[in-house]
Amino acid sequence: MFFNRCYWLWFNNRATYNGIVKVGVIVFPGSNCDRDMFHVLQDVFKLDVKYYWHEDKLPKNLDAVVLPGGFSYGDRLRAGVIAAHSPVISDVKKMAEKGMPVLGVCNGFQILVESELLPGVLLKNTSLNFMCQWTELIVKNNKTPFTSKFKLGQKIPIPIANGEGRYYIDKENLEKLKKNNQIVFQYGSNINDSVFDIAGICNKEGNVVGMMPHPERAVEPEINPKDCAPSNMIFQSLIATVGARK
Amino acid sequence: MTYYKINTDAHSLYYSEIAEQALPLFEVQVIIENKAGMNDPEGDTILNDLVLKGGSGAIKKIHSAKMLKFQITSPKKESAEKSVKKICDDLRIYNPMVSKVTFSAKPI
Repeated sequence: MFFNRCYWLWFNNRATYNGIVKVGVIVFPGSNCDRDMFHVLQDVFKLDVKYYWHEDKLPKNLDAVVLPGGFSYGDRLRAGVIAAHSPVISDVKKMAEKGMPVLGVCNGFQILVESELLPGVLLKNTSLNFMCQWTELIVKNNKTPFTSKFKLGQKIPIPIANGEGRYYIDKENLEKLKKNNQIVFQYGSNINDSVFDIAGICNKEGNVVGMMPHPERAVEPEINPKDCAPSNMIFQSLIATVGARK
Repeated sequence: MTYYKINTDAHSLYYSEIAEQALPLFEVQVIIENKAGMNDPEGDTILNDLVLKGGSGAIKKIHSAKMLKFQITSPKKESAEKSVKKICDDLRIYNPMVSKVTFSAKPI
C-alpha cells in the first residue's frame, strides 16, 4: 500500500512538471500555515515555491498563488479584513483577473472574501468554539484548477481548524452561486451551520478558489491517518492545469 | 545672495494641519450590528449561559454588536458623520452583507 502510494505520487507529480510550476505563498503578519504550505508544495510536490511578504510585489512569471491559513493581523476587526488591504492583494487581484489560479485556505479564504475576490462572508462558528477536527468534503465542481482531477461527488477526508468558518451568503447570491457552479466543496454533514454546507467556493471564472479545510495538513501519511490521495489531488489538479498551459 | 527653496507641499500640509486644528473635534460612534434575521450566537450565549442562569428571567433577547469611536475634526456634525461613513464604506470596516451600521456624532 505504502509503495503503491509512493509510486502514484511519483508518477503523477515528480515525473511530469517537476519544478516547472512557480507558486507564490503569501505571508501576512500572523500567518501560521505558510511553512506547512511551502513544505508541501516544495518537498512533496517538488514545485518551485517562494514566499512573498504582504508588502511585496508579485513577479509576473508566477503560475499560481496560495494564501495560507493563520490569523493575519490577529483577526482584528474581522478575520482577513485588514490583510485584504495589503499591497500584495492588489497584485493578486490583477493576476486573478488574468486567469492565474489562486487558492485561499482557511484565513486565506477569509482574505479572498474580504478582498471581494469571492462572494459571501465567513462568520464565527455557531458554537463560538475554535473547531479543530477531521471532516469530509464532497466535490461539487471539478472544473477549477484545483479540482480538475476529481470526480463529481468524490469525498475528501480533511481537517478543519477555524473559529470563523461559518460561510454565509444571502439567498439571492446563493442562487447565483448555484447557477454559476461556484460551489466547489460542501461538507458531508452540517458541522458549523454554513449556508448550504458550503466549505469552498470559486469565482465566476473558476480560477480563484477559497476553502476552509486544510489540504496541506492531509497530503502526507505521517499526519493523515485516513487517506492522503484525495487531498493530493487538489495540488495535482493545479500541476496538471498549469502544466497543460505551458 | 542666498536663495531659499520653498517646499510648497510641506507648507500647504502645515497650513492645512493648522486649519484642521482650528476645526471642532467630534466623536463619531459607529455601531455595527447584525442585520435582522442573522444568527447571533454571541448574544444567544450571553443570554442563555450567563444572564438567564444568573436568574434574570425578565430578559428575553440580547443582541451583540461592535462599537468603534472615531475622533475627527470637521466643520459640522453632519460632515463628521459623512466622512466617517465614507471611511467605513471604503475600507469595509463592516461587512455590508451581514451588518447594519449606525453613525452618531457628538462634539468633544
